[in-house]
Amino acid sequence: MAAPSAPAPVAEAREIGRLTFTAAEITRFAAAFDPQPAHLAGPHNAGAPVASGWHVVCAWMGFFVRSHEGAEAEALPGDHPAVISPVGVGFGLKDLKWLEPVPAGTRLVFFTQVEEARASGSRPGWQILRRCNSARTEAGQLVMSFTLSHLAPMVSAEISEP
Amino acid sequence: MTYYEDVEIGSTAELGSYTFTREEIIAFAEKFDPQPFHVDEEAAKRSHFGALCASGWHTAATWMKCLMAYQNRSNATDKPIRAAGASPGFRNMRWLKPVYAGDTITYVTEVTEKSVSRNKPEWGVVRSHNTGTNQHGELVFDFEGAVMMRRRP
Repeated sequence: MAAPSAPAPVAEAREIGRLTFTAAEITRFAAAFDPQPAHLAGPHNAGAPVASGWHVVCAWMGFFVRSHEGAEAEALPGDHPAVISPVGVGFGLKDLKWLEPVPAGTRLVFFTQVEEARASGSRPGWQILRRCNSARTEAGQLVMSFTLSHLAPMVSAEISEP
Repeated sequence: MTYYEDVEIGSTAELGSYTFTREEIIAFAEKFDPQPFHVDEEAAKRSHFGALCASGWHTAATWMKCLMAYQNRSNATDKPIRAAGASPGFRNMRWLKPVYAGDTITYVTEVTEKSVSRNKPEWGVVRSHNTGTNQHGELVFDFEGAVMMRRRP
């Protein structure tokens, strides 16, 4: 277990998960947050809705957070930044693009890639990461991309950016 | 039907308010953002936030929920702000302050920019500045949204 040391290295795009967007899940999310007819299964779209863009980006976040779950953090003290906040704290994001519709039955592959990493000037043990994130079809077509900046705990590179 | 030409730059609308309950914060986060301070009250107390707070994506998706509810209840006398429709994306989303369990966020939109699509002249893009403000009057969330709207035939 390496001690907090250096910011995460700039890395290649890393796959964080895959998900098939079913008509039922698309409709469930849309009914709660984005009930436009295109996102709700019904006779008007032959039971085949397209996913809300918010659903796609929220699914990305779910995979991103779960990709940080690791046994290594369990060996750290309870007040360590990586235990309190394994992923970090989002400042916000730039330029989210929804490029292609995601019809029911589509299987998406989610990615993240660190573009810039620097140590936080004000919080020892933390780093500021800028990462480019995306979702593609399994055939490789880009359907969503965005840039996210966030504060992240500086642990070993294995935790902060596998 | 509201067309691109019907929307005026500078038009504003209060989309609605939403109170984030502990149960909804946890249910959303367990699925889409299971960080300790979004799903576990005790862990949240130990975090820099100090208490359970909503995922930033929950705050954002609830903006959409309030926009849809506003569109459904607005009538012909309201100034059109946009149509529900396809969005090419958005810019500069910021999570400025935590949204704690029990907080009520009021969402407001303002039309900021219009442009006709270069490739598809029957469509225009309407951009808006969107905010979420808590019950203490603090800005907690904002972003620059965009939506495609049909031009009047």
